[in-house]
Amino acid sequence: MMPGTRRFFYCLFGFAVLVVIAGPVVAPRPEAAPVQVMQGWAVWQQRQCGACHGLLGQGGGFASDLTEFAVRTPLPEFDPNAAHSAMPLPASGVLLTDAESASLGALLFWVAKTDIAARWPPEPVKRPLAATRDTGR
Amino acid sequence: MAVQEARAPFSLLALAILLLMLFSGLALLSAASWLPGSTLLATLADRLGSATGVALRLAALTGLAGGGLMVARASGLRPARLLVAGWASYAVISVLATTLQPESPIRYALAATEAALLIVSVIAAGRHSWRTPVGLVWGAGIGLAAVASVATLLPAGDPLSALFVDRVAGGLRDWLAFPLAAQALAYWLAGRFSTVGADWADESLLTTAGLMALAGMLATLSRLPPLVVTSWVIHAANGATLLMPLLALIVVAHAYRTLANRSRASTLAAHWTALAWLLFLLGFGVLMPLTGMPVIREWAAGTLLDQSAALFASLFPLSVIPGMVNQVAAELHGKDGRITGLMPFWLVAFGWLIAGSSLAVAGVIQIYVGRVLGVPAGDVLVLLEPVFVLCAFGWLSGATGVLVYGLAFWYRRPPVSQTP
Ligand code: HEC
Repeated sequence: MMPGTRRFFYCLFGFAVLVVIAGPVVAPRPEAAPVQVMQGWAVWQQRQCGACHGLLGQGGGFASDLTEFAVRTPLPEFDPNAAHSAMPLPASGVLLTDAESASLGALLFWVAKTDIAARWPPEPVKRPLAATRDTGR
Repeated sequence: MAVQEARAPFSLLALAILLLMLFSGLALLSAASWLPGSTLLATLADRLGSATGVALRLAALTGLAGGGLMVARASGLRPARLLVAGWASYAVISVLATTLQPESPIRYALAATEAALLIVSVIAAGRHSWRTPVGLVWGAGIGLAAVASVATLLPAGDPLSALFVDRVAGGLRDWLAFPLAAQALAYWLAGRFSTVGADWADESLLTTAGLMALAGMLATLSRLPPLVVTSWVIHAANGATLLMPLLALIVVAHAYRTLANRSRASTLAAHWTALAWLLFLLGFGVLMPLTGMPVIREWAAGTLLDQSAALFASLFPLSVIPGMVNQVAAELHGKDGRITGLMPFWLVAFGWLIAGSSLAVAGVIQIYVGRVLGVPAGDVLVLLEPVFVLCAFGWLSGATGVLVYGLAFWYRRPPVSQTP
């Protein structure tokens, strides 16, 4: 075997691992989130909201991505139990307590205020279709 | 291969088959929970979804570690036996923990245990195994998986950083570590089912493993948006779209040579390995670069198309394991022959391909109907019901295949448990 092949592997492997690990090291650290937001994050993970809902484009896949949810819903009206009234959810059918709902609300409002929520997800493209239908009439 | 010597690693492989059965069952239940009218299962959809992920990871970890230890003949050593005991308890506790609320102390303890088990495996494989390319690539993969387990413990002060750490640690594990370990085992199997020269195989393994590491890195970077959209990440993601299909093609071209020059060995190792490489091509060569391309990713992030790319990428290491078990069991029996037959293979191959592709189709529908046209997510779910039926059918076929595999394997298990 050519000795160069082993070196080829070492180089590519080392490079790949370094680049991936460098990510978290050089990434800018945002300010720590308020306590209630982190509590909401803990509830999000415990109640497995991420099994269905995406957040900031990560995970989910089955239900809507909730990144911008709080942009549309004012805080007093936020009620994940009600959002799930049509199905035996969330999280194994056990309703969220008021404290859990409140901290989830804080989480979603915090998320909606991030830079990411300002530019993602893209707006739906409704116009062209509506326009064709109008001319058809 | 001495039977006595193989006992400990073989137990790990057998445990991996059990976990594979668990994964298949959970994946089926999880897919069924999205079918119309599945009221009871629907209440469990969240738990089923996460438990499926845990079972998949455990099956891959256990099978890849056991396979490598088997190759290294890490053996009647007492640490290897302890390792099996530790591993089995870890697997049981991890599975049980998914039914509990994931409290953080348990999570920390589990991740630390996982890292420790992986590191002990690499050590148990022995220093001499590093001199062979198979041992080197496998050790690099398993060692990296240990790093990834520890990385999930990095503290995060806000949800954004937490998601970011998750993405990076998950990328290290699923797209770098596991594929490398799987590729090493696939090449060890190729040494049995193919007539390619040993020298060529060694060089080919090191070359393809290097390219796979690069592909894994690109996959991880291209999945950072929309969490991170600095210009270098966007450039890397654009590069990934061009490079990843190329890298995957080179890897598969190497793999093809081993498959095209078959030896007379009649175990089904070649079949399972061929399936693995096909899944690799679909995951890393097609769906990952497609969904990673920044303009597409903007629409595809967090849809089922995205999930299907990740699924194909995770099924690749998984399908090397039944091949490994087939080969090893035949060798322990001391005769060349099929252990589990063709039926489970075809059931699994069709099932997994159908399940993965139907998720991709569902994702495309989600993107166009949900994201582009702005139809509410609940209505899109109703539209997707026929596709979910197809997906559940795929998992049913896969689960049946894995069940038949498990039973056939149990029936023809080699006499490792009897003391000679
Ligand atoms: C088993 C899957 C599942 C789980 C788990 C789940 N949801 Fe949902 N959720 C849905 C579905 C399906 C809908 C209806 C379709 C949609 O809007 O996404 C929905 C809707 C919602 C909505 C309304 C969205 C809108 O745009 O009107 C909110 C808010 C919500 N869920 C919050 C939560 C929270 C918080 C959790 C965790 C406690 C959670 N969900 C867990 C499936 C799930």
